Amino acid sequence: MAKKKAESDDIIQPLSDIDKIIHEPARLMIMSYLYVVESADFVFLRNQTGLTDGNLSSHLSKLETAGYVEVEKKFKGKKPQTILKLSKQGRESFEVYRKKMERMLSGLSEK
Amino acid sequence: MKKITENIDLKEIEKKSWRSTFEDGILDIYFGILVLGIGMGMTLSPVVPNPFDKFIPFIFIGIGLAFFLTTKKFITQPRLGVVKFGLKRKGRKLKTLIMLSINFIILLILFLIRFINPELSLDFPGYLEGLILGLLFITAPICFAAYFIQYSRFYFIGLLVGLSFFLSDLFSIFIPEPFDTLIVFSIVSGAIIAMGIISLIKFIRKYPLSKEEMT
Repeated sequence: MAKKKAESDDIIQPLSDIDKIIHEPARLMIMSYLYVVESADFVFLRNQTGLTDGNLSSHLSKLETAGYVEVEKKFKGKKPQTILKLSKQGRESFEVYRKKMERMLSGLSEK
Repeated sequence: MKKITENIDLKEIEKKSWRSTFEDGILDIYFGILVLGIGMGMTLSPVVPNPFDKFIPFIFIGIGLAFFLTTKKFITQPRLGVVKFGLKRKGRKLKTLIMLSINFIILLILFLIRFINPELSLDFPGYLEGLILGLLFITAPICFAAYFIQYSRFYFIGLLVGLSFFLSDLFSIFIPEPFDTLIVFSIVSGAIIAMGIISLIKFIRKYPLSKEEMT
């Protein structure tokens, strides 16, 4: 019984190590889009993710606070433009997250 | 938000982002204008005095380029947004550019050889000259470009443009010169431009203009 509990703990334990900031579905999607490109502006990211302006803005703030996303605000003519890119830390954290998830999910068999 | 529940495939996400930059159909319209320019140049060359006839395609290139840049700036970017792709994409773009440049240089050399010695012929039988040269120097490079930039409509466009010279030779049986060339190139460029316009309308409907950025 105690052995079974220890095995179950071994499987569940990595869950607590998962980066909660990235693990949230909307933020995971934002991070995924920013991971595959060099940079993108707010409008592009909103169109690709399908998130609303407010939702995207709030998730970006959290990612920026965590140091995962770099935000550059500038003007294109008279219109404001927000350029977003993953920081070095963000890119590394995303890679770590991917590896952890892969390891964890591969351990979840149906037996 | 529906996309969140789907599996996350990074390669697919990158492809989707890349393909979205072609959704506006502007590249098709630009290419259609170029094809029209070639057709007009060939049609008008007997009428327009030498060497001004040589400039006709360049006028169309200029019109096409102005259209392309203006539409990208005022229609596509405010709706779709701006994105910069990584090194892998830049590498693919560079390969396409190098390959098209080599093709252009070969074409230029062939043109100069014929210009210096007009009697020199490649001796292809009958109508096959237009077909072979079209497929070899127009369809093949455009298809290579389509492969490298992963833009599937370009395969069809390449085939259409490559066949134009052959079709124009065939049409000359029924229609007097230079109208055979004018008709064939107008139909081909019209088809390409129409494809582009349909894509542009779909794009404008899919990506309406937004208010202000909220961040």
